[in-house]
Amino acid sequence: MSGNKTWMWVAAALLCTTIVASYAAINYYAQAESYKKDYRALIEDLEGLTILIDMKIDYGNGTVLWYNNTRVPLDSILLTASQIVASVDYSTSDLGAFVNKINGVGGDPGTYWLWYFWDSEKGSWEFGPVGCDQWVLHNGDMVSWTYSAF
Amino acid sequence: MAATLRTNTASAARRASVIAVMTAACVSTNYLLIGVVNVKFMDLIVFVSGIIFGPLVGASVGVLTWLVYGTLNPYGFSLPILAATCIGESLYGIIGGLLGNRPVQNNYEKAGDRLWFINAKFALVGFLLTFGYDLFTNIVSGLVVGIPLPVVLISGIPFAIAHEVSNTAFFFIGASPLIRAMGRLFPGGSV
Repeated sequence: MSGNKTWMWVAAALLCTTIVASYAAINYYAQAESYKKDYRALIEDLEGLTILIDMKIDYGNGTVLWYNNTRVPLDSILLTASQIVASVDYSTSDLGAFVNKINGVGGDPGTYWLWYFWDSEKGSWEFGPVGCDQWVLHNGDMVSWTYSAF
Repeated sequence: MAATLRTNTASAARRASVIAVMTAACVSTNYLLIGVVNVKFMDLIVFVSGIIFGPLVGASVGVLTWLVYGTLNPYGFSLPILAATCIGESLYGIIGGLLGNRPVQNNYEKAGDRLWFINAKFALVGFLLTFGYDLFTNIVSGLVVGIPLPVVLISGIPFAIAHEVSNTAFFFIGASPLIRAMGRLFPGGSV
């Protein structure tokens, strides 16, 4: 009888811990769902204020890095977008911005950072026609930085 | 005949005074802790009232406490919720009365169990009673306000946890000493 009573109290203790664990699980699940909902709403808001672009950085030594689906502010210029994905060292002149180094790479004699954009109609990379501080990006644009001898 | 009448009158007066004193203790501690949501000594006091003085006194203390505290409450007044809290609170007293041995000089100490085990039992009972109370009052609140029950129950979890954990601690720490003290003040237990 005493043994049965002991087991009854043990069962009661387990019931209590089960209730607490269930409470915690439901509470954290509800919180997670709430955060997900907030995140989705935030992304929706952001989509009205930002665009997605793909950027390639070719270091000229075989290392090529892609930054796909990079979210940048609406009406960003290429220079701004580049600064979002990498550390960019540049100088400005009357002709516009000139990139000296990307992520510390650059400055070698006769070798420069050049930028290209993907022309979807032609299906090829096209040389950037203006300085990187004058090229306005649009949603879905694909751009490239290439460190190459010129 | 006269002696019986005098005894009954004395018993009724004693019962009324005990209910008044315990209710006053509940109400005063409730207002003392009004800033700490869902952390109150009331449940423990009602439960111990039930253990010492029986289910009727215990339930009366619970109901009367809520009639005062639920009416003069800065968080507002709602009759259906007040009814629910009265019923829920009275359960502490009723269950306490059903569990109680009306201990004379605390027969919990004579039960042979270790004190921590007795305290753990009180803590478990306190937790389960509080769980039932929270569930019941949350359901009634949801029905009254018109909020879907799952929403009410889920949004009430943090408050329920605070209530249940605090009550578990209070019952573990406070039930035995309070029963012992009350047993000394009111030898003979049930009034």
